[in-house]
Amino acid sequence: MNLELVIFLMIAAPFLGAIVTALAPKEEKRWTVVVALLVTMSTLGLAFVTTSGTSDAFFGPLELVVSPFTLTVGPALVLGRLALALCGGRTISASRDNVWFLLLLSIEFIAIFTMSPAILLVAEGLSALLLASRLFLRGQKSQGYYLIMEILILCSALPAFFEQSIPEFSDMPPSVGLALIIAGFLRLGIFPLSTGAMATLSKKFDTTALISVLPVGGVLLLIRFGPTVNTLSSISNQLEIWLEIAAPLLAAMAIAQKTLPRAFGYTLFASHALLALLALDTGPYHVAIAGEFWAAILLSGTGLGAAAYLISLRFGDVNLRKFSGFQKHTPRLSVLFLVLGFALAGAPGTLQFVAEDFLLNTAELDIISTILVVTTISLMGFAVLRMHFRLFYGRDLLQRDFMRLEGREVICLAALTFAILMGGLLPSSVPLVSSVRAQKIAAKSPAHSVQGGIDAGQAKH
Amino acid sequence: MISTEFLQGLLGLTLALPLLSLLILTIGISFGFNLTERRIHQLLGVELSLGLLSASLFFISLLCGWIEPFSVDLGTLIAAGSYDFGLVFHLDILGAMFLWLTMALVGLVGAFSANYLHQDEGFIRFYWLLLAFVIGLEIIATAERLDLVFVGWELLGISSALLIAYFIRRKGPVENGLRAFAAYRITDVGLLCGIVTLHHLSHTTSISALARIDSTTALMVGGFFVFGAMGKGAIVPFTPWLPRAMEGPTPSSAIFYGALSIHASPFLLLRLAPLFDQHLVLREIIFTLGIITAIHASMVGRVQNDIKCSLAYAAVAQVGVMWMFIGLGFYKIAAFHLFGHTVIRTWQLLRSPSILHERHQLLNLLGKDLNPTGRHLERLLPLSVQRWAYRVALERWYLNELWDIVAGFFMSILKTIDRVDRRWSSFMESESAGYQEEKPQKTLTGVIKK
Amino acid sequence: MACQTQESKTAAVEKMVAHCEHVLPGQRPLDAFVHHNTLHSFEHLSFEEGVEKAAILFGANPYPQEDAFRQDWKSGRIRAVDLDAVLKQRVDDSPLGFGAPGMSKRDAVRALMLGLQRSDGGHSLHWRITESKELSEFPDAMPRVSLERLRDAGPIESIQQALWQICETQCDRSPLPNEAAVRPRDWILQEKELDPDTLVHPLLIRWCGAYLDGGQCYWPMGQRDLGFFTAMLHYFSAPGPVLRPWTLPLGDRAQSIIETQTSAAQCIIDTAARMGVPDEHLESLIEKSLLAMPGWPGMFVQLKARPDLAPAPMPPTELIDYVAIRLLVDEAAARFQVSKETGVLLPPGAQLKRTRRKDPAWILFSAARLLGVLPEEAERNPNVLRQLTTFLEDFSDTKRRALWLLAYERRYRHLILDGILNHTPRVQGLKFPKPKAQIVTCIDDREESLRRHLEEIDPHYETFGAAGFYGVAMYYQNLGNPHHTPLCPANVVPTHLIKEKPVDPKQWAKKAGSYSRQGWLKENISVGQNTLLRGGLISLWGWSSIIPMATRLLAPRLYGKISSGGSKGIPTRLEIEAAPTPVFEHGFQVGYTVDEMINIVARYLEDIGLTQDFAPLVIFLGHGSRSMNNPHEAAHDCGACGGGRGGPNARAFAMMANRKDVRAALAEIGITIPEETWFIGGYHNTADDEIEYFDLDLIPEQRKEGFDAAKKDLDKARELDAHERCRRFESAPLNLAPKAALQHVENRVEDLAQPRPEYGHCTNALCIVGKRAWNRGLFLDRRVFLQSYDPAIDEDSAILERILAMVGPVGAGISLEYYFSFVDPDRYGSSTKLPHNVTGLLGVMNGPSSDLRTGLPWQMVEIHEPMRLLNIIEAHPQQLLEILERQPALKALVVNRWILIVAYDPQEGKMWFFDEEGFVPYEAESHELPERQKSGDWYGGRRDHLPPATLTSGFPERELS
Repeated sequence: MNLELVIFLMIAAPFLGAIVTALAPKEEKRWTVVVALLVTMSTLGLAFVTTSGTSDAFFGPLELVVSPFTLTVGPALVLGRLALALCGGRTISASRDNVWFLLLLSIEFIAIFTMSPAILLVAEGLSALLLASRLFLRGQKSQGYYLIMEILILCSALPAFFEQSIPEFSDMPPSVGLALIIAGFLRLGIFPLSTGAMATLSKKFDTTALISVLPVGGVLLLIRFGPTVNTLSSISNQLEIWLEIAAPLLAAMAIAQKTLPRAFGYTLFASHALLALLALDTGPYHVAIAGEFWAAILLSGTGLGAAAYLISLRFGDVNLRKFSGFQKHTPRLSVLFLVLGFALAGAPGTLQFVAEDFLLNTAELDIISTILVVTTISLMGFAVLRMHFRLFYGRDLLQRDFMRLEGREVICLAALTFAILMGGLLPSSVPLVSSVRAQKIAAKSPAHSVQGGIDAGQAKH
Repeated sequence: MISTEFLQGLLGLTLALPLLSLLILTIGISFGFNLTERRIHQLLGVELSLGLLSASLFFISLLCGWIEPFSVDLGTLIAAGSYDFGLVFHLDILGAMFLWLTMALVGLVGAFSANYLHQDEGFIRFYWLLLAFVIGLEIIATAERLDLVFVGWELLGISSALLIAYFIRRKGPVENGLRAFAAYRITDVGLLCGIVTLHHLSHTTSISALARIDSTTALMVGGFFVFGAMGKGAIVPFTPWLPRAMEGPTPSSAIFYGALSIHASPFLLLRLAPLFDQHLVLREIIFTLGIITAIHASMVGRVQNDIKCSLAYAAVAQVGVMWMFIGLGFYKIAAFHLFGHTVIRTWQLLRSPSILHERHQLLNLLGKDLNPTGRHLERLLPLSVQRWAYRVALERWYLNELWDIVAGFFMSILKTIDRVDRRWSSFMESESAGYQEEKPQKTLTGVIKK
Repeated sequence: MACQTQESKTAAVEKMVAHCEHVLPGQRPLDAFVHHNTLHSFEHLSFEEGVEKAAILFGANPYPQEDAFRQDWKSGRIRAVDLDAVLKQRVDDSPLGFGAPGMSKRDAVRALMLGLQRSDGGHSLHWRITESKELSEFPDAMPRVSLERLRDAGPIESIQQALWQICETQCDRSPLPNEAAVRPRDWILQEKELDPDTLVHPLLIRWCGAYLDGGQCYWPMGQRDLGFFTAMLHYFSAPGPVLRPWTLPLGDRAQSIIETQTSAAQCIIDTAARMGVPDEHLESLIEKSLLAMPGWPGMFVQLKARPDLAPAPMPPTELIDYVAIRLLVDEAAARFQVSKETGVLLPPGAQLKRTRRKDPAWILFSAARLLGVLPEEAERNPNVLRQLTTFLEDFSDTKRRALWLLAYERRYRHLILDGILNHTPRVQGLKFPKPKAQIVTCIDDREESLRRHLEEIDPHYETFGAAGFYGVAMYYQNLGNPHHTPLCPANVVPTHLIKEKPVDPKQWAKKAGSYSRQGWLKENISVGQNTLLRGGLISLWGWSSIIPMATRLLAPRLYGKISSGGSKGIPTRLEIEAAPTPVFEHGFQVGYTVDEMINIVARYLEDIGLTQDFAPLVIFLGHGSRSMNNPHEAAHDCGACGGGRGGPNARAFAMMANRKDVRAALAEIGITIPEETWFIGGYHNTADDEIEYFDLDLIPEQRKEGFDAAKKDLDKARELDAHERCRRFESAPLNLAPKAALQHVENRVEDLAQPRPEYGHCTNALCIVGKRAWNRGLFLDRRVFLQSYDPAIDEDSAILERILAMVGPVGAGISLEYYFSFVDPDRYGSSTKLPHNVTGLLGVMNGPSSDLRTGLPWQMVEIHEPMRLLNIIEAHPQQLLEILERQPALKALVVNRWILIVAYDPQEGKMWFFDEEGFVPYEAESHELPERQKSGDWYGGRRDHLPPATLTSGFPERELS
């Protein structure tokens, strides 16, 4: 199998899908087209994981490369987006929303696969632009403003990368690095930059809102530039303190919320803050494990978001200060919600736990930081159980309308759950974490796995 | 006498069996197989009797000195660089005792519940959670690494909270399940911090390495662990969750809060005893917490007028005594006490719905009324002190209110932040009327017309 | 002058509190549990009116849900004939005036009953319309005319959408009228979303529990003899609650009340004024405050009414004390919740908004399509939807459920009455041989099967049924028990005390010594286990209890055998005869005088019609039930004994009837008991079907053989009885052999984990007052109370009158308590018993802190069929009407239709059903009745409710051949 071709397909498929969807005459059929395309892609992506390993080659002008990192995040992204597309519901999936949705996916793929920081920034900027335009159209200005800010930061940083012919992350000026990290924070919803994203969620909670708070570019910026920034101790200390305060605060905010979207949003952002905190740290395997952590957040965050979305689709704005008792109507959703939620909070037996435990034990944290990080985890767990109890338990207020999950919805949530549990119980099935592969990466580069790929690429040139 | 390979294999099997049953149950539920009560009961019966057999074998052989404590390595979950998450289990007398208790009591309670929960809507859920609980306890009993202990600890916490909230239709149990979980999560911070700190400072979380730790590290790590053990053991000030936990069905109250779950706390301390030997202050802390808890629970328990709460407080009082023993360094007495108390309290709680029946029997035997109790308190204390003490005891030392105040304080801060955040976002959205909490109900005609 | 008005005001408050007692549950302490009509205080209204009023007051269900009835409709439990008959009676046949042409009002109601869908509106309805296929197809239950009309009008989806749009825009969404706010709590909950009750209830529960404790806690509350009000004030004024700011002002208030010596009634007036509740709302305030947590105050009332039933001597329990304290605490909590703002608890004229639970648009739409309303018709003529709305109001959900219930009951009524009408001629032609033994049991529905099986085994047995206290209303003190318990119907307060005495006092003294040593040990262990030091020492050896625990849980029957140790105790006698000058103990006369005995025996034998043809053996069986893990154990005991075990009553009756002096006196009034006849008292445990006989050593030699034979047959009968009972237990396999079935029920009794030791009165539906002769051999499925009555010896209906006055209320109490506990297990019943927690030895709570749960637990009622009790009385309508005139309590039950009655004349084979218009002749629908040989052939392999059948094996052989 030609890797080049497959990667090209992976990027081109959603793009083609977007065109087909835009031109397709019958509205009802649109989502089936989308699903078919995404299924193909995800199968291919997942096939990669098991069959091929890393590739050292650059492909084409976009400087795409297949690294273990892309192999973890790629399938997670596809799986997550597939789930969201499937959960869209009759009215939404029949609309033209999917054009936008597929275009975004295509751009995100480029961002994941590319090795060139300049192209990463451009892709990231483009996706932000797409998101922002859509949000403005929906009348959700606050997140739009935040995205424009991000685009501005990216634009200003871009020249620094075009000046050099070959990108060396370590040569990057610190101020640029810092700016990029803050741009990443903007997307991640790190407190107090979470306002925009939160407003998006709480104003209209649907798949679009979910996609806009499950950032790909933001995490990429963080993971790629984080270690560089981290070498500058003065800045990184400030960032670390910021994150250490933000993470438990976000998790605690999730407990205080009254509406489901906001509670979900804060849980998600808290896990992002943890990711940022741990990914900024240096260590031989960190970037690799951070990739897995990110994949885990992506899977469980999408899953929990989709589950929350399905609930609000059926039951509207749920008051989390009261018990709603949905268990009777959707018992399956109750179980899936609980598992996905606990996965997001890093409970044992899930993919997230494995990565989290690794990062916690190897990151060089002092006592205070440890306590804060652990508190965050603990609070997230509580927030999730609170959401679950308040939603599904208690005397059911609804008596007549029976709203069971539909087949496609069960399938997509179950697939995500399965992936998370498999990753957690048999983590060696995820290539990155298996010791062999990790050692292979270590052998290639003493510093960072991603750079390992770049080094190899350089050697070829 | 018995080959080590055999023992290791048997231990591995014992640990794997509940996991297997859980898997079968999960697959059965999710693919809609016809899981009758009888089948579930059989599945659990086979699993637990095998477990009990092997646990008895381990316990007796270790007790009689036929075999030495041994370890088994079931592989590595992940390993990278200096870090590895090894599935290493170790069995010594203490662990074997707890393993035996787990198997025996869960087995009996499992048999009890088959009739008790017959035709209840949560039958499968109960057994599923019971299995998760067994796995958690097994891991705690035999884990050699503290990382693993944490996994078991978490399983215990989650299954407990879900079982307290077993009667999902009613608000009370669910609210109380959440409260108990909050107490667990707060103290879990201690346990996890302890593990992470230990890993940083000594690069291993193996229990066998605890004895080699220097005393300052021991103080810090040990402090975390003591805090971590307080929640599950309902040590003051975490006691209020325990009476609340009596919301679950009787068997789960018996097995969790009368017996195994609450005793996991002194068990953890016993496991970590080498660490506490490193620093006297730790033992003093444990003793102090133990004695306060014993006094608190004994005083409050005296005025409880319902059977389950009085049993709950009686149980905590004895857990406090165990902490005291551990603080004094009498580990063996503490272990022996744990062993006996776990069994007797389970038995008492299982009989609790029959209290009227038993009271009649007792009266018939005695031929006269029961001796009045609590008279010495009335004789010794002056009336005003008596009233005060009675009130404080009946109100459970206002510990609930203490937690309400703490939680209320944090909540008010969070709500203020939330309000500011929402103001800011509504400013950006340029909504003049402020953030809209409740949206007006829209008519549905529009949807159709489209 | 002012002083006087003040006084009259407090008197008024006292009256109000007394009046509010009727909203509180009337359940007694668990030990003395006795079935009663949950809505006893509504009996002056008609059944429908009463349950609907109570439903509003308590927020409960008046009838089963419509969905449940539709399920019964689908399964065939309710037939089309039943529904049509009910509709014919209740709904007129005039044309509807809108919708599908040719549809009458009756058809329309039928369509609504079968097909009207409801929705809770809001988002879930949104989802239903946008995501599900609701509008693209018609519901199943559409009447054909409507279906055709709508289908002809255009494509399904567009028609339904058009109809929906019209209903959506035109439905009446006007808000419900407001309600005046009476309790500050309701107002605060509405305005601030804070519930002061969440603060108040835990506090009150703890203190009520402490105050009413019947011997559970180690350190009882002090100063209880001051009364709840004063004692609580003293405790409130003690220092303490720094951590609970909201109760701080309560201390000062309590202090000032103590100092000014304000009475409870005055305190209520003051508190209401402080809350801002106007005087005219005072009674409503008291009622609503009581209803917020009715169980505990209900217990105050019960303990005051019958202090002798408390598990331990109780302090004064005045309801007014509770109300005063409740309002004090309520005020403090409310003040805390509003403290930050104005401090006004209840602004004048405060109104509570009421919200609609259901979506009116959807109901309108659903009804419109069921009745075949076309969109253009509705659009053209706005009157159509208006008419439809009125029609929906006339036949609202509650009204339709009432109709459903009627149909449901009618089906059962016809099944039974037809069965009896077809069966009677068959047995009337038979000549039953002279009985070799006569067995008298309680009228209890659980004894029906025992009697039937015994008659099937051998036609030489004759059985009778009568209220199981056998006329001996007494306090009874068994050997070794320090207390005496009443054994008589709940509304009777006995005046006599009967004690069990050892035959050989020396033997007893020895035994009692060893018992009390055992008791001492047990007491110390059970009390000591929960204390700190003794508990620590005991628990060091606690591991040894793994052995009893394992035995009890894994082999309950074995454990039961071991623990009872085979020792049956020592021979005893009842101290039945009063001393020449009667001795009084606790105010009760010890023993009966001979005259009293003669009265009791004569009257009772007359009641059951056993005044001649005595068999050589007459066995009286009292009954009761013993089980583990069952706080409601007493609910399974004999209802006629006030929730006690009727063994001693049967024993006492037999002793009286065996006395020569009694017999001689009886002979004078025409009841000649032959010398060879011997009476034996016995006790039937309905849980494990064991039968115990008393005073066997007194049986004359020549009767012993006969007794042994009878005992053998009774043993066989109880095996078969157990077998028949087992078919109802889901956990007993259907193919059990009778012997194994007996073991199964024995296991159940000893099983600590068994929440359903027996089903008690569950499934009761019928009561027959009349001769056994005409219903002998009819399978009635353990659902019937059988009272023997012989009209031949009752010329002036005096016997019938006293029987009905006894049986009517008892039967109504049992059946209605089951009805309500089934229909609303949360409000009227005590829901699932699994989390029940015995508190103070007198009630159960859910978990650690809740209101006292009253009513029956779900496990007791789960297979019940909610119906009113159908009474079949062997009498003529005129006779019954006369009796009703003389018995106002009974009349209220019958005329208000809390029970249904049928008059039956077996000789002529005629029946009259007491309808809303009075007695109307009953016409049989079916003239067929299945015939089987034995009961087992009919019920074998089936778990559900069974229709009657004739069983021939008990018939005399001559006729069979």
